[in-house]
Amino acid sequence: MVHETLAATNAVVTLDVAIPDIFWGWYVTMNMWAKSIGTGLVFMLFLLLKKNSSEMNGLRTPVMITSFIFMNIFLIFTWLDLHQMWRMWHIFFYPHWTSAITVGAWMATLFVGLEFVMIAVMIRKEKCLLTKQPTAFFDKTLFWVTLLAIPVTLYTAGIMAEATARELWQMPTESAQMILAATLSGSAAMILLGGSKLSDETKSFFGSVLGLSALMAFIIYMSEYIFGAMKAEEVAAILHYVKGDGEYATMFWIGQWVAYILPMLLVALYRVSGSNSILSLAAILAIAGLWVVKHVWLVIPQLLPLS
Amino acid sequence: MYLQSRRTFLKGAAFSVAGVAIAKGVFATDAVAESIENSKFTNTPDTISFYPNQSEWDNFQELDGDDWKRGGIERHGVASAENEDGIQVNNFMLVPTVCSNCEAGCGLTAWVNKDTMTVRKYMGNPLHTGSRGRNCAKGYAVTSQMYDPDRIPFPLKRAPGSKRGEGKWIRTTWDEAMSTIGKKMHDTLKVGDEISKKSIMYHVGRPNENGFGHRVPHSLGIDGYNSHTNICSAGARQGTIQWANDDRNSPDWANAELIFLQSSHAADAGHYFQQSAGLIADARKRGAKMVVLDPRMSNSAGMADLWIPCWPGTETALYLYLANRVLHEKDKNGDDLVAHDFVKEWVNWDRLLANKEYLQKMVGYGYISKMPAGDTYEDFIELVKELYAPYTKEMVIRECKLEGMEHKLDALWEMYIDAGDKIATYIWRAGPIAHRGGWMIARSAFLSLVVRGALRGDIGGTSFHHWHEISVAGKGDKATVAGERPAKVDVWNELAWPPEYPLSSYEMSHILPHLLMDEEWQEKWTKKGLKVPKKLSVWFPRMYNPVWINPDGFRWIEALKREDKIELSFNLSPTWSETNWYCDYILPVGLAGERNDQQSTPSKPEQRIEFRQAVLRVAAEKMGWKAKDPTRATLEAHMKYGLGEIWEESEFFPNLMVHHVDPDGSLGIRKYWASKKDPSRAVTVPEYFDAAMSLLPRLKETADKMYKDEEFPVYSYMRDHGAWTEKTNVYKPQEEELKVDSEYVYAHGKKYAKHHVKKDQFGALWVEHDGRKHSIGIISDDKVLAGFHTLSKKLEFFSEWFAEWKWPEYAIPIYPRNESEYKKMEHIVTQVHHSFMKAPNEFALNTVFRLPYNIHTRSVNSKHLMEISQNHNPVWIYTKDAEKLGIKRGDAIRVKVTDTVSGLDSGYFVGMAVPTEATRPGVLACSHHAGRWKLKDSVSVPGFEHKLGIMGVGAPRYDMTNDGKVGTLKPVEGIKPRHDVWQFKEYNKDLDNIWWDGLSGAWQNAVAPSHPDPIAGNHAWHLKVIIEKAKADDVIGDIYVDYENNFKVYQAWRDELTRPLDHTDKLRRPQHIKRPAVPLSNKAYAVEIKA
Amino acid sequence: MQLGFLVDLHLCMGCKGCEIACKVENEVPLSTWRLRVKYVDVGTYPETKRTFTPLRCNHCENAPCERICPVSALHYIDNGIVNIDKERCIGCAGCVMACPYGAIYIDPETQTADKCTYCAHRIASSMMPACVVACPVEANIFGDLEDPTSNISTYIQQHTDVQVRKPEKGTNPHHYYVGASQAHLNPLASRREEGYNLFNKITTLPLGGHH
Ligand SMILES: Nc1nc2c(c(=O)[nH]1)N[C@H]1C(S)=C(S)[C@@H](COP(=O)(O)OP(=O)(O)OC[C@H]3O[C@@H](n4cnc5c(=O)[nH]c(N)nc54)[C@H](O)[C@@H]3O)O[C@H]1N2
Ligand SMILES: Nc1nc2c(c(=O)[nH]1)N[C@H]1C(S)=C(S)[C@@H](COP(=O)(O)OP(=O)(O)OC[C@H]3O[C@@H](n4cnc5c(=O)[nH]c(N)nc54)[C@H](O)[C@@H]3O)O[C@H]1N2
Ligand code: SF4
Ligand code: SF4
Ligand code: SF4
Ligand code: SF4
Ligand code: SF4
Ligand SMILES: [Mo]
Repeated sequence: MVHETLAATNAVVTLDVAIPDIFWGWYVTMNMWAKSIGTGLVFMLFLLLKKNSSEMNGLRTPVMITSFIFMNIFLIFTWLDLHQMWRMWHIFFYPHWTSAITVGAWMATLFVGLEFVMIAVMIRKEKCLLTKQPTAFFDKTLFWVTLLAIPVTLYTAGIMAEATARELWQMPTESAQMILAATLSGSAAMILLGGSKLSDETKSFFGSVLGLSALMAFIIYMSEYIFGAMKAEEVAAILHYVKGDGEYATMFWIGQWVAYILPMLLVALYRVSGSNSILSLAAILAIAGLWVVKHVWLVIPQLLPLS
Repeated sequence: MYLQSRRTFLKGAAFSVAGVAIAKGVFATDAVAESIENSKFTNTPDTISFYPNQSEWDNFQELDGDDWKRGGIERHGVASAENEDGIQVNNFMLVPTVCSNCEAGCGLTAWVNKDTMTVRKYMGNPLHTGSRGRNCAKGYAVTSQMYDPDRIPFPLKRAPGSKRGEGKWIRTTWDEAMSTIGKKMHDTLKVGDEISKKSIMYHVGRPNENGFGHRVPHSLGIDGYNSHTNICSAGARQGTIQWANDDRNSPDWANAELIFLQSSHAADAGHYFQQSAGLIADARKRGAKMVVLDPRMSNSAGMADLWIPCWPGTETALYLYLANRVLHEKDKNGDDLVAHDFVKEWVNWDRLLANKEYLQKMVGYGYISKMPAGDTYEDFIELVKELYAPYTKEMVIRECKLEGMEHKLDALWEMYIDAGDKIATYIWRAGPIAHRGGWMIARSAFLSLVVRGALRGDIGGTSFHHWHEISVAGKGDKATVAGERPAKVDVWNELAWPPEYPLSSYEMSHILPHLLMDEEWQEKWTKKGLKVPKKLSVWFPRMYNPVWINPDGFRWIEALKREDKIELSFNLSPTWSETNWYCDYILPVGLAGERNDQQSTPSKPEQRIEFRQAVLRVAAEKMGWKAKDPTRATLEAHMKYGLGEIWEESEFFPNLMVHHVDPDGSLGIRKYWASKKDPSRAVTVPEYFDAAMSLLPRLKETADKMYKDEEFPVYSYMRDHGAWTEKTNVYKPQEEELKVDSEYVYAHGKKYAKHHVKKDQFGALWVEHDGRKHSIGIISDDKVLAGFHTLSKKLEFFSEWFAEWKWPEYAIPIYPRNESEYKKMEHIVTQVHHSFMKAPNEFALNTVFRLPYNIHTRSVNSKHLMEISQNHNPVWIYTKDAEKLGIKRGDAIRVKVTDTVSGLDSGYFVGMAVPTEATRPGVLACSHHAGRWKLKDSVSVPGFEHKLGIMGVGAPRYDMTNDGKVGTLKPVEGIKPRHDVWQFKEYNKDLDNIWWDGLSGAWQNAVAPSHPDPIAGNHAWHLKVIIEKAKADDVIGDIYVDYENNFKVYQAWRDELTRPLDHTDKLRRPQHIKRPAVPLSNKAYAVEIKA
Repeated sequence: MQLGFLVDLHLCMGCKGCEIACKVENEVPLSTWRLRVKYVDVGTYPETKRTFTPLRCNHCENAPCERICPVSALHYIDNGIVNIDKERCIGCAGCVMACPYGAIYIDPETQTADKCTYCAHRIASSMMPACVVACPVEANIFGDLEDPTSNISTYIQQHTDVQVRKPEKGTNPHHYYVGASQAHLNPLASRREEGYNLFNKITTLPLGGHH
């Protein structure tokens, strides 16, 4: 990999120590993926509330529980990824507020806590101490939780932005991608969870969210893929891993197809045919593909020697 | 201060929000702040020093680097009774010692933790004026060598009933070993005949001390010293002997304008490596230029102003070309470029012109066309002008194969001339050790300095080491009962100095096993009347791994296994090695910080000594500990402080001699080792070294003042300082005036009655003593000057004695001028000359170079050095050569060795090819540092709970076969992460992270046959090789050696190229040149050979 | 006080003395490095050159590692050093992702982040960093950047080609190089071929063990 220099330089490393391989691996992919689903469901629930609150019935608790589960998957993998797991508490006792990790951890904790309360309220119903009207409480709190979901889903982008070493990860793009990942996977999950409980109109609405999220995310990836290299040599070098016969090129395109291109096409097909199973397939593919897409983007900048 | 720290704390606390942290913090931090304040430690010190003041060395406190990882004193304060959680403070005693990883002998300080009595680290010694407190990677690695998990913890003995090399060992004691060995030596010497005095051999590798080792065989009255030097640097030494009768040159790097390197220094390794590197850096900071002649891009070449990749072995042509131009050209002002003042006064041209017979010969050889017109200096200049005229630029381009590099030669010329007489070089290994006639490279290199006046030993130029080195380690006689040096030895050992090699620079060590096993050769010389030993009764190497580092390793194994050839053997070695696998005893002696030696490094124009010490013993003694037996103090200390039963030579030998070799004094040996103070016991380290080092007058004066109350003031001074510089700015030493009074001339510490001093026609002053003629000085402009160490007292352009000793055609710097002379002058044409390379897969193999972070076979006990190098030794091949042969990076190739004298093949090794732009076309390179092997991972010693690991961080395991004719090695398993460490467990807890396997190199030395240079005697290292892609079953690391053929190769070089002693000879060797290391009597020198 | 480092690359000859001195001084476990010296061969025969670059933490004024550390395990101390606290560290590797210079590793023995501290413990003991003491050619210059008379300040003033690594990252390193080329400072300016090379195996390791 010789960028920037003249061919005549013919510079080659002849002695160096072993340098670290990939640091953030699939644990972190799991983290981002699960968090997207967890927060995405909350977004979708909120949209549903605003769009057609009547369809919320029977969905509040299961959706929130699903979100809660995914948020816990996210937390578990975040925790497992720590080399000193048992010191997790340091984040709360020695917080360092310039760190997106700190901010994210606090907010995610708060978020999951609120979700827990909402679920508890819904399950315990009339025995509830907090309120006599769990549903009203739920719907009111949902606003705040949704508000919180925004930074919770974005903070990873913050971490990636603070990862100064990884030129590929830029703040505006990553936050857009994080939100889109949430809307993509959230809508997909909603479609799968909602099943027959959702009206065709609502389904179609979530289908559109899914399709548009896929489209926008795909556009951003392609923009980076095509234009990223033109601005910074490091980005160019990193993108080599997903271009041509690059190490991650196949995986990258699998991700793009499964997460974005196929779901887009399927959503379009669904809109023409109205077949629910096509929409479900789009949803499943989007969720599965997202993992791949996230993983590739997480790993490739780590392959580049920094020194 | 208190307030400030507190304020700092509060500032820090303001950033923490969590209440608990604050509450806990405030409480803790008061103690923290106080603990800092009550200490000498602060994050914002006023000064930052390289080393503590020497006055603080006995008691120096430093925070611990590992414990600091908890966040340092700002978070935890300094450890104290009140603040137990604080950062740990180490109570250090700094004990000076000397690095032993290469011969540079840089100063070290051992940072002994007084609470645990362990060495936390070794750093440099700022009082050592050569190394100036600095060290290279190998210096810092002394710590990991000391706490090597596979250190040999106690003396080992070959298990009774087992054969050498079977790898069965039992634990023994130093006392048992001494009594067995001592008795064998006693019984041998008791016989008292000539053979007995040739039957004990002390074989030393790089000794890193100045004379103690020599004293061992000397005091035994035997010719029994053998060194490794003929595989090391003897070629260059031969050239130096011929010019100056000195052993090596000694540059003033720091003040030079041109650093003219052939051996590497600045960036590689080289002699006195890091000291030279530092001094060269000083010169380069001032703007000095650096040129490197090397077929391989060494690190030095890679950073030099100019890299000239001559075909190896042809450098002579280039040096003679420089001389030619200097002789013929003028400078800008129209003045001669020749430094006439110097050449006229200090070169022995006068003797050449006076020797008509020799001049006739020169005409006969075609060197000159006619006899010089007269005897004047101008006639000499005319002569050399003609002599060197053939060495033109075109000739150099052709001979050195520098096509397309004319511009480099031009640049070299500019730099060389611009530097004036400030040219510093160190002619050492490189070409001179690599080639047949390599010594001529040294010879001609010096000529290029001589003509410019750069060999005058003036500021920025080059001088000779003799004046810059102090050797007193062998001279502690005053502390012994004898009180004087042992007498000269009366025998001459043909095993060390065979009659074929009378001029060999050093012992013919690399063919010792051959000589021992070459019964035909033994017969031949016995018939001619010499008493040639057919076996050795005791052979003991020290700091030497001959099996691995010599050529023809299987021959060594063969010899070492033969109990009829070597009756008893023991290796003084702290570590496992390929050699001790085949010995009877392995006696673990101490490393750099575990033994006592005086060393002296002539790395710059000054005179200095350094003192190596057993640091744990010294620390303990300073803290009040006393050994039960003062003659075994080091052993006792090492046992007490957990290092193991590690002893050292300077206590071992005196005890061995006094109590075992000659207990009753009947052999006359005891008195040289028994203490004068208490004749019932051996001499102690303080006694001996105090006496030896007291020979330095300025040191003695200083020490006597500083340590008036001590019994051994000089010893005490050196114990506390580690180094002493006796004299600085030693320039132009040959011009020093000798003291002359009305009756005597004083020279070399002796005085000669004037009427015994004779002056010859060239102004040299001669005396006769001991039945030999010596020149002691030279008259120049009515002054009596010391002169050089040669017979003529001048630099010898014409080596008269060399001509007399059968080699007249090479008695002046010379080189074949055209192809027709290659055969005629074959003794000075390399065995890997390009004319021998016919097919595209035939190459010269450069086997001679160092990696700055490895030391021969000494790095394998350091996890740190092994981690850097991974025991990796690829075969370097020029990119385009590789392309042509279809070889890619990482490919396994067979490197087949073939001899250009006998035409015999030696076998092959399978190496890993790495194409590179860093070696010249046609020349491969393969280093010798890596490719170590072992046959077992560990040995179990009966009765000892742990297995003893063998070279577990650096040597893969191999399978070996050898049947007396063919030897093979095949790798079985590489180096693995270690979980089995029992020795120094805490220090080695990271061995589970070992990530290298060491399987990328081969033991190339085993394939190489011995190539004894017909004159200098050294092994000529480079090999002609034929390469091909590896066969299907080949694995990198495989070797296949036809060592029966190798035996014939040695014989061919010996019989086809040498000019042995014959019935016309009366002496074994010219007496005026050194015959290291034991002084021999005239009787020993005398020889009579039957026709 | 702002401590800083400078390496004169005209002088460094790649002996790796500094590298081992650092390992010993700071008990840096096998497979990890606070300081390493990299060789890059440059050019085509016979004009080939070899460059040597000691690489360590830059003690950035605007340190991404410090910024991202959720628990202030990485923190500034009074003398400007970016210090590390292994007891505080939770091993999230955020700093590893943040440091643009690859200066941080996870110590396999403690499973916490570690890096060069400019030998802060030696500084606090009024001693030079171990690697500075080691260097045979005095290529390493260390001192207080706020003191215009210090060695390092004068060195910087006397040389025109003072550079830092990756200035575009805005980290403001307190670690300078004199005499640097792209091959020295820019990892993208040379080929880094995995596998055995001229001097050793160029490889990557799963550091920290647990992945
Ligand atoms: N790191 C380290 N330093 C050491 C040692 C060590 O083991 N490791 N050993 C010490 C010892 S014992 C010694 S003797 C010295 C030796 O130190 P040096 O005298 O410097 O010898 P080498 O390193 O053997 O060779 C020097 C250079 O000569 C080049 N060379 C090889 N063949 C030729 C040739 O035919 N012509 C020319 N012009 N150049 C050639 C090699 O490529 C190499 O770069 O080093 C000492 N210093
Ligand atoms: N191909 C090739 N071969 C070479 C060279 C080359 O350039 N190329 N160089 C040659 C040169 S110049 C030399 S000088 C020789 C060097 O070869 P040797 O003189 O054999 O030197 P080392 O390998 O340094 O050390 C030999 C042994 O000394 C022991 N030892 C280590 N430390 C200590 C200690 O502190 N005390 C004692 N008593 N013993 C110790 C260990 O057993 C070690 O294996 O190698 C030569 N061999
Ligand atoms: S140059 Fe030689 S003596 Fe000096 S520190 Fe390095 S290995 Fe030791
Ligand atoms: S170089 Fe890296 S580790 Fe050092 S301060 Fe800068 S960001 Fe932090
Ligand atoms: S790994 Fe440790 S030092 Fe690095 S950011 Fe995480 S907590 Fe901080
Ligand atoms: S300053 Fe200290 S910690 Fe940093 S690289 Fe140098 S020796 Fe290592
Ligand atoms: S010690 Fe000095 S010369 Fe050696 S590698 Fe380090 S910086 Fe370079
Ligand atoms: Mo040597």
